[in-house]
Amino acid sequence: MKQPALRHVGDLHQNKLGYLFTAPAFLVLVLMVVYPLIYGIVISFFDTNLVNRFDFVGLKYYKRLIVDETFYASLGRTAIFTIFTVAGRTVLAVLFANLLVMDSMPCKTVFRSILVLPWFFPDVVVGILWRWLYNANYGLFNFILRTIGLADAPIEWLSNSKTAMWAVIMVSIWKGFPFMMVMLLAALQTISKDLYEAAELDGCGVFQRFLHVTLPGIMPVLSTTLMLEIMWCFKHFTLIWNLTKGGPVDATQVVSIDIYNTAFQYTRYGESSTRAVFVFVIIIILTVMQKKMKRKEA
Amino acid sequence: MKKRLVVLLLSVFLIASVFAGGSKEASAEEGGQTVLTVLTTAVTQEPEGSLAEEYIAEFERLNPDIKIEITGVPMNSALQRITTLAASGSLPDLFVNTENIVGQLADMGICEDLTPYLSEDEINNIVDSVRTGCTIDGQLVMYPWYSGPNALIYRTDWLEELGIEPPQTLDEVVAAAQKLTRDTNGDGMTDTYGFGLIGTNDDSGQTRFVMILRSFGARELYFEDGEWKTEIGTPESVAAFEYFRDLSTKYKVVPPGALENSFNENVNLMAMEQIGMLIAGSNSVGKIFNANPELEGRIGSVEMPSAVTTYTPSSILGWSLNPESEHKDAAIRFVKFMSNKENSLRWVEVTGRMPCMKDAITESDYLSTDLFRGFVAGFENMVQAPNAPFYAEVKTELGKCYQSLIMDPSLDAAAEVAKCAEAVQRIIDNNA
Repeated sequence: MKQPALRHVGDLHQNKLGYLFTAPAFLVLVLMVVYPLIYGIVISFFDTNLVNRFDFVGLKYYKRLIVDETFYASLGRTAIFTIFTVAGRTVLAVLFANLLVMDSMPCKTVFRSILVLPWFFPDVVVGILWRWLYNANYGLFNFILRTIGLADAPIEWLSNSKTAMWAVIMVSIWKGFPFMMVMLLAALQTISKDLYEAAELDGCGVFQRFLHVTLPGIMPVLSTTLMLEIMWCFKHFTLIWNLTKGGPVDATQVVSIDIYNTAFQYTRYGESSTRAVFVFVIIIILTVMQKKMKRKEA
Repeated sequence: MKKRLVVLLLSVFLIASVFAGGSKEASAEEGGQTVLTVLTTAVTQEPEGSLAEEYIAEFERLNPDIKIEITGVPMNSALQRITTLAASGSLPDLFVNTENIVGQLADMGICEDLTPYLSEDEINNIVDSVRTGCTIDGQLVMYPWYSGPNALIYRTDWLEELGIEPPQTLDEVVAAAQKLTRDTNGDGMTDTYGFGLIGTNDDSGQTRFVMILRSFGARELYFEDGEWKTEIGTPESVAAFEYFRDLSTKYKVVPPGALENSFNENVNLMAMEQIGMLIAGSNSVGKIFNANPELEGRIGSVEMPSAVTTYTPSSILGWSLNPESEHKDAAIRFVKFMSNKENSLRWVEVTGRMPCMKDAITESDYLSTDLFRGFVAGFENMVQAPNAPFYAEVKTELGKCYQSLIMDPSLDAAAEVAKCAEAVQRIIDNNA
């Protein structure tokens, strides 16, 4: 009868050591993640400039946000940006990953290195680089289009509400597809060649082999990567800010830029936090969905 | 036991390393010297940066008891940086301030009233319009360093070549711009444009638009009878929006991509000899000459042309003193040194940024040149911009409106301006 008690004492001893080991990480997590999160939620109930004004306003900003059409519009633009960016990245990633995994593909290492290059560049650099490429006066794209006679006048890619969002999405796809490609490449390499041979013997064509062998094989990685990409794109800021700052008018004003402007341009930190809390809830919902999907797959 | 001790020590070390670094901006004493922490935009740009560093070195030589610790911040992120530092209790002793953000910073209570630290003569030496711009609720919350009033700058050689007088009215600006928009090499494509339109929805674009708006006799925001009001939505304001739009869409006298061409792009276009006129601050000439020295002597300025009146917003950059600073006397010595007559006179010649002190203004030969005629006239008539903490938000709404109209010229200007007026009124109401 005494054995369990002894084991319990032993467990406690072992646990103590475990707690001690995890304490620094836990403390860092609380200070760097939990505290700012709670602080952000708390100030959403205050009219504050974070320095000398902390006026409690209760749910005022939440009530205002619920009827704020501009916020919903920015959420809509965020959805468009996210959907098309993730879709574009997925198509490119699947395509290039499949090419790179082929045995007959020459110079694989060289292509792999070149294809992951955009991923290595910081967002700010990419933003500035593409701004120059898109520039109406001295941009490379306009120069080429005008030289080969495809455009009479310069195209204002970033100054036109009809083209600005697509121009931004294009850059975002270019910048982000390598991550997905690397993940899918790793997944593709785990699929046994026997499965492809068996499928071929059963008379499957290229498309059917992709549909019935490749896709199920990469699905666990693909679903996780997709969910991560959706969450990242939903709160993406740097690239869009460096390309258009949310303009022209508000054609590319996604929710992260809306939050930034409210906080740092207009110094309405409380109201900005309300918006951030709203986005936080959306991200939480997406995370829960991803967890459920993972569990289902398992 | 030893293992536990090692684990404990490692934990302490890890936690300590996370918080290592401390506050760079915190004031300190170092080897008997007072370390004065200063946040400035000057060191992040040229030609200002090199000269500012030279001044700082000279100040340290003359004041061996003071060491200056500089932190650079780009102008467009100054407000964010200062707010963040103030919120975290790490505000430096001195920090950059401008007439655009002084309202917001003073509202935070982080700008010490400088009046008690200055003699009456020193206060009276500040140009009157500048002193007004630095004063909020009777307190001198910013010590001016330099000013960059906006004026219309133009290519003197191009205007002479075409027999055009420097424009005095906004209609004359259009007429001159049309003549200056030319295909100079006969390849069927426009090579030079008459006017550099800053159409971005940032402070540069918004300020230029407000100058035109006020020239038409409409005010975007003003304080009267104890409340903030707007004249957006009036026929005068509609005319101003139409004028701004027509420069790009009707007269086609501005380079392509007006909505993405901000101040820097337009200054580059002027330096590359692609535009003939630009509404710009006096500092822009320093940048233009820096990029293209061949343009020296070929640029002139006139005061902002008028429609019914003329308007030059106050454009001042200065220093504010952290009320929590432990080195206020050293800080005051430093700001006085940076703005003293000798330094101000050299500063204007290198950077084009104008002095804010009467003694330097009256003794500067450089300011009496053709290049500075317009800036000096504007400087004398500078009007303080509204210092409402929500002014930036109001200007953003104006920016959205002029961008909409330029992007789609078929839009009904009166209807768009009415929408803008509603948005501005909503901002005023939300902040009442």
